[in-house]
Amino acid sequence: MKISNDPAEEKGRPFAELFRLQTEFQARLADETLRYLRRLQGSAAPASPGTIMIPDGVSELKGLGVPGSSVELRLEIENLQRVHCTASPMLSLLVSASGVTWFPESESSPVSLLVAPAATAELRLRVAIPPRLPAGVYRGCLMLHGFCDGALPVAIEVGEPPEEKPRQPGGRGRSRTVAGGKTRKKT
Amino acid sequence: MSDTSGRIRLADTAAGPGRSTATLLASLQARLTALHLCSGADAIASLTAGYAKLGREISLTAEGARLRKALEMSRAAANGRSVWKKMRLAEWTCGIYPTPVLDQLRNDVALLLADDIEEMLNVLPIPGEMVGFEGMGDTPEVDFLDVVLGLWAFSRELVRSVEAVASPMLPPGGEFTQGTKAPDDVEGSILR
Repeated sequence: MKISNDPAEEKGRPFAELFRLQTEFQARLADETLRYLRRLQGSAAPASPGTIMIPDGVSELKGLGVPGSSVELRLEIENLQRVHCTASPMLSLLVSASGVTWFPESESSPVSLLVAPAATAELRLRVAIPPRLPAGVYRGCLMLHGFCDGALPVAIEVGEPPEEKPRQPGGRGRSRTVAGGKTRKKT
Repeated sequence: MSDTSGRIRLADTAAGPGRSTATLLASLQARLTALHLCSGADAIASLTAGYAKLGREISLTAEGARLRKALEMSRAAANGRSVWKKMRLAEWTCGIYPTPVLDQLRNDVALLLADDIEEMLNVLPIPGEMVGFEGMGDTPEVDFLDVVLGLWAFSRELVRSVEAVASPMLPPGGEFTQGTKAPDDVEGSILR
């Protein structure tokens, strides 16, 4: 039987479709076999003891603030394990009901927690609320990586921005309040 | 300003071995032994898949998402993806078990701080557990940016871990020590 290398020439012949199907089948079989072997190899990989997080009492971390201010969230982490455990909480994107997505800028103190066995450590997370952020309740979560998708729901309520005081007529520069309630004029 | 507080507890996973000095040592020993049983290409592919998995998780955070968005718009992402595709790195890492790099790092740090390490080293070898088919899950195609973000997150965790381990003994910056004062006059010959 003569088989041409040119697919166009081979198109009309009766075995062409059969060969094409066979080739596709063999390629797929090789691909699936490789995938299975890799899965088999992976199943023999050494297991790494892991950690899960269990929320204790609080179902949601809530904060309240106005644009331009900041919200502080505090998280106590108790380690029930027999060895030290590291936790690095990070905030997810926060979304309001009106569809605003907020990429919050947060600063945690300490940046990472190394909790001794049977000890409790506290983490403070200061979230800066952007001055022009629309009012609303922003929901997201505080994620703890490496703890089997562990996350704690977070809701930050952002109020209306404080009204700006009308400037005095004739004032040349912006004024700001300093300690003691005195006002210093910036020129 | 308003503040709220929450509390969480960290516990061992229900499946698999709990975290103790013995199981962490067994896991480390099994990892080192496994290196002799697989090719270098497979080991690196598994690590790469592990970083990519971490990168996908980090992309869900605000900081990770911002970083990813910025990288997506840069030339680095386009160039990296072109190299990734041409070198067929996605096929290389396809379907391979992603190493839990963050778990391993945290377990190794915990080993360094264990107070019974000498005692446990004397009872080696300790049999370790295997992942099994249950622990495999689906492994999506490894993307270049996932790996970049995973490496970033892993490096940050590593730096923070080292600093956290050192912090209890870390002397304050700007410390100085007083040296012994040299005698004003040297008596006798210098060559003795």
